[in-house]
Amino acid sequence: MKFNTLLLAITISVSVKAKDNQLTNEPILPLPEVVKIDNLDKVTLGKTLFEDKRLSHNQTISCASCHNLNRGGVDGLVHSVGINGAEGNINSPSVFNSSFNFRQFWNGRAKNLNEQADGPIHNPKEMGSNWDEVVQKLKADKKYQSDFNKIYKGFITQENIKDAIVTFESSLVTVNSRFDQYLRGNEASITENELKGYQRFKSYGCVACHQGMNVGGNMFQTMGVMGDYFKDRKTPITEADLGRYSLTKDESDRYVFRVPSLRNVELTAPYFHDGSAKTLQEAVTVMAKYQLKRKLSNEEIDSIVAFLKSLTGETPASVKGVSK
Amino acid sequence: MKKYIILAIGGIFFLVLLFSFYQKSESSMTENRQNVLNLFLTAKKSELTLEKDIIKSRNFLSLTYDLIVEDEKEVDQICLGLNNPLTGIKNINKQLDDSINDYCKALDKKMIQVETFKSKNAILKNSTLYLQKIALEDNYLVGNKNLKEEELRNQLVKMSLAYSVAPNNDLKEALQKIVDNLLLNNELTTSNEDDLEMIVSHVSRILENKDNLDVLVKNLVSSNTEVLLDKVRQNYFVSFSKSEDTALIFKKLLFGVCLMFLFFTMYNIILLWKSANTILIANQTLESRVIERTKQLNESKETIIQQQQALISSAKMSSLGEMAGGIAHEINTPLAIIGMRVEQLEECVSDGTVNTELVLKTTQIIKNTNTRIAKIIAGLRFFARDSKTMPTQMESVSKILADTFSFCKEKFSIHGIQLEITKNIDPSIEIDCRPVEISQVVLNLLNNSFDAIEEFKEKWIKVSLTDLGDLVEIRITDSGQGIPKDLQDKIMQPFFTTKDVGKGTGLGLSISKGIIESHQGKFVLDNNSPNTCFVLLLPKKQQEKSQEELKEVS
Repeated sequence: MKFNTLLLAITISVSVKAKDNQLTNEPILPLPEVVKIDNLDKVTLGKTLFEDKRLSHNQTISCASCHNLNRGGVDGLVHSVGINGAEGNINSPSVFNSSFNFRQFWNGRAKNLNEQADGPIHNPKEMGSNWDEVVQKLKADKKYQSDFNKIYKGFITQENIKDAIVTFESSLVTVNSRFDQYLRGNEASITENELKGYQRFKSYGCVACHQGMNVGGNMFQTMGVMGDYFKDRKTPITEADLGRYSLTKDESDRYVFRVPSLRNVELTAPYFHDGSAKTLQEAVTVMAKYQLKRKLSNEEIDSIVAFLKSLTGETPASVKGVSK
Repeated sequence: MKKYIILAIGGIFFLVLLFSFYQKSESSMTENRQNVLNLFLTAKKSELTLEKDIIKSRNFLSLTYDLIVEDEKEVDQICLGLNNPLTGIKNINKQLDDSINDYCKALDKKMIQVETFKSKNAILKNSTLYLQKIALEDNYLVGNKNLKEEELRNQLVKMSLAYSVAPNNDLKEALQKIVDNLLLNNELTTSNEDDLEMIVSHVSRILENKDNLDVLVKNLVSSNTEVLLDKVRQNYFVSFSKSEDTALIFKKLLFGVCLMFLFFTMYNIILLWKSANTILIANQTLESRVIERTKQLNESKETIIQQQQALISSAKMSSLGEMAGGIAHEINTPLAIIGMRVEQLEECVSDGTVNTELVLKTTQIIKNTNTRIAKIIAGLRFFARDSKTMPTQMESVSKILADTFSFCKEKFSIHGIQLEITKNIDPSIEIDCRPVEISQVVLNLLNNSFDAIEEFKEKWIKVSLTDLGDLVEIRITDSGQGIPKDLQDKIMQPFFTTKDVGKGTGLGLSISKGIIESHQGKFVLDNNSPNTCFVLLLPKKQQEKSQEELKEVS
């Protein structure tokens, strides 16, 4: 009897179409249709700062060096390269839609983008600088003086620099992906194969973690829920592999990472924190194996990959150069 | 008075200070009170929403965590708010701060548990969902494969679903046994059946996480954060009422001091009123005293005037006294003449040689001499009399001068002083005057000259009379070398004298000047003369004079 009631409950929870054609009760939610930019000057200043190599100690690295705005907000490398050719120990996450992530960094050590900005600036393997140095350098620039004068009453400070960068980053939303269009009721916007992939994505359980508006980015999860990924990887465990454990020193946090967003995942290869998966097929295969104990056929993988590619949105307006 | 002002200013200053204390103690908390209360309310609401969404997320399979993420952000704001100095709840007292710290620590811990919940719940939900799907898909339940394996699978699914809906230890143990057996016997790897392996994996996840998660949810929902928040709130209210008490104390103190100040002010006003009254009385006394003083002053002024007048008359008398010596000579001579003539007559009578002519001549001489004496006496009488009431009369100047000379001729001749009178004085020159007074002036001047030149080798006094038409000019010049310039202004002032003490009164010249001016004449010192020369200018006719002018002169 109890069993039947449960089944009934599940049947009801199957997705239904709302009046305005928008799909409800879907585990994935569309991004906002438009990005509201309140202060265009600030976004423009933020972009300039984001692309300014003076933020690094030796003027070789900008934020955009690792978060290439024309490559899905990543650098396409396994590990990012910082100043003096220093190789980092982790794969750069995309800056696109990052404001929707509940935490920043793979191990979620920053609560928001503002906190996040301190990381790369100070990391000796990334920008190797500090805010005093950055402020000093930027103060020497007449253009910055006039820009900051316009927006921050002339104060070139750590807070204001971060504020401008964060404002710009928050504008980096890849709206209007084909899948979002589908979620908004335009069934024709995705192919049958992609839809099939989405259904598999849901029924196989990917959606248990890759869910919500950012298709991920709203929880922590262990890498290797149903298998020992790191043992099978056969390469030594690095500091980066420890995940949240490096913060909390709690054994249950070992190998626990922030679930990455799958939006624009098509553009952000290689995959995982260690950049070990070169292609989406590979990534899907690994995920199915270690998180879901599932062996997928090529057809299944392809459909899921096809679905994932439908999550690629438009290049943010602020990347193209914002115009009034 | 100054003391009171300082006291008053001090009092006002103290009042303002007290008032500011009162306002500070009252407003600092009351202003923030609503904000803090709102914060408590929001905190409770945020936590409750989070808990609600956690339960929802636990029970409903398709719900995303976006909602919980939003709730988490809300909860994150709670401690940011509580620790923000602007909220006005931090740094009131240690107890309150400690309770806030306890609460925020517990909240942090809770939020970590929420993250664990999200991870584990995702896994558990996924596994449960998977098993439910298998149960729904017929081909998994009814197949033509190995019957034993099918049964096993069926059993696993049914049991684990039952366990996930209504967990109990027996069921868990039974399930665990099956899973352990399967894993131990390595049946899964040999069986080639992927779905059995998956089922076992999922069942394992359920067995692994179900209990933990239930405990976690229970802990989250019944967490002690609520109690700790209540404690914060309670401490806040205690602090608040304390501050209210402080404010009340200040209020009472303020009232008390105000009252004191009022009394003080009233007391001061009374004092002031009293002192004002005293001043008023003093003023009145002063006025009467001033009047009295003025009266006294007037009286003394009158006394002075009386004394002055007495002095003036005594000066007259003294000059009279001076004259007396001279007069003695003047009278003695005619008396001797009379005596001589009387003897002559007696001799004639006794000789019997009475010659009518001689007798008549002799008696005539006696008569004349007698008249002369009578005149001198009359002159003395005039001197003694207060002359100002006397009317003026036409009198020959030469006669006045001659009369005057008669008082001092002898004295001057004794001392070898040559008294010259301009010859050929026209006896018909008459002036309208009080002859005694004029005579007095002349006599005074002559006496002054006498005193001045007495010791000189060259001793002479010249008196001249000139007819100037309406005026007559009498000049009295002596052999002195004039009066020094610095004394000229002073000599006319009353009581000024260069004579030895006791010799002069210092009134002579001033009186003389007064007398001449009362005759509408002029009494001046002739500076052009090489010798000391006083000039009297007198009108021949007196003009009508008002009574006041007459008084002034006196």
